Amino acid sequence: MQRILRLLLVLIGCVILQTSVFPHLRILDAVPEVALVASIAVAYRSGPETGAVFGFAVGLSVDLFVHTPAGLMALSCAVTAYIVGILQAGLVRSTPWAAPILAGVFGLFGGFLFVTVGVLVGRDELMNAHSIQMVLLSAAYDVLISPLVFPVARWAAAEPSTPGGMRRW
Amino acid sequence: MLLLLVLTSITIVTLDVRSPGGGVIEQTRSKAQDAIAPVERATDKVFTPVGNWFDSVTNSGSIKAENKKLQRELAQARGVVRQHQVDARENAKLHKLLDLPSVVNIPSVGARVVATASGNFEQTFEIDHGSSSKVADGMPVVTGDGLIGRVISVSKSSAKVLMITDPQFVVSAKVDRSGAEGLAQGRSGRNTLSFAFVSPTADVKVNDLVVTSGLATSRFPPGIPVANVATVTKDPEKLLSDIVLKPVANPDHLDFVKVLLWEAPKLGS
Repeated sequence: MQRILRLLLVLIGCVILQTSVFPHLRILDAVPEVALVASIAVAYRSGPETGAVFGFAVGLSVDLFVHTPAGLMALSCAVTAYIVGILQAGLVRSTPWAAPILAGVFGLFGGFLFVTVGVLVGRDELMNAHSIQMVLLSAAYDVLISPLVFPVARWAAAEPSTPGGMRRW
Repeated sequence: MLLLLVLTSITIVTLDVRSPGGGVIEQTRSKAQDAIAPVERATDKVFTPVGNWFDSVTNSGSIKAENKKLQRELAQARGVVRQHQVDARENAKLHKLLDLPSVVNIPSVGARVVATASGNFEQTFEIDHGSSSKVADGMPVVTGDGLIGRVISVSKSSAKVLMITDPQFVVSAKVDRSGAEGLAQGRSGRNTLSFAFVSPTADVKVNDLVVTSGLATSRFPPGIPVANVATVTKDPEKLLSDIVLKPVANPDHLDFVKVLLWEAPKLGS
């Protein structure tokens, strides 16, 4: 229950940051995809299913505030988080570079997935060089915010310790 | 689990695409917007100075160049304004005589821009007036210079405006000088518009003013300045000219706008 409340808090924080803070802090007209970075972080911490469900919920919440079709960000975050969750077992955890690398690589993947599905559902105006430029800039911005988002998302997704004092990873 | 989430997302996307402007999703959006509006206003007060600093750091070169250009244009514009004051008075008399709608006579509500687009793939902004101020979906939004967008979604206390430079924005327009008609549409990421479906024989020149044409089914009243012609490329082998427009209203630095409380006349009325 506590874990769900923490994740809900992170979800609300992501929505507020995405809608009310980062639009004021554009770099070359791009904003970071906070929901996507948080989904990647949760999936990295807790595996594919938790990551996908959180990604779906936070993506859908952000979808309520953008003009692109509802469900698009939810789909991108859920699928990206699921893939991160599957790959996370083989990833090295001790390096401090994990957060920015994951945010950058999967930020790009999530962004291109968003644009591709958007074009498939009829938003042809997304198919242009400007969209690609925005995906690249947004992924770079995701790298910058990842050292802040990852620890918070991982705290929220932390599972209670197992009996005997052993921590589950 | 992933399959379920993907199917749910696709269902939501389909529902949203198939019922634009209405439906459960739009109502949910409206309520969500009302809920977050106070947060947006509070953070706007805090982060606007920070955002301005960010902007000055990342765009300082272009801001200085634009400043010099605008000062030159202002000096020229002052002379033109004096010349046109006489024309404006005569125009108002003629509008009244012919019972034509005039932008000046359309009731409006002033609004403050409280947030810009939350995402990377849209050009929109939020204003601090909504349905409680009689703002409705589809209403034109203008600045002191001209058309800047139209309202696309409304909640009780705020509204979202689609900017004129967004590719989804289309307005029927005409060249003020010659009457050549076409469709002005936003172009992604370039702060310009294309002027489409204009005959290659139409009289269109660089710097011509383009205004809304106000045709019977248009969402916009006639005569609102839209853009100036930036480039004209006529290829006799093509059916249509390739014309690029630069909006008269500056989409980059928006603080205050006006929503024209205009509803497009329905066909047959």
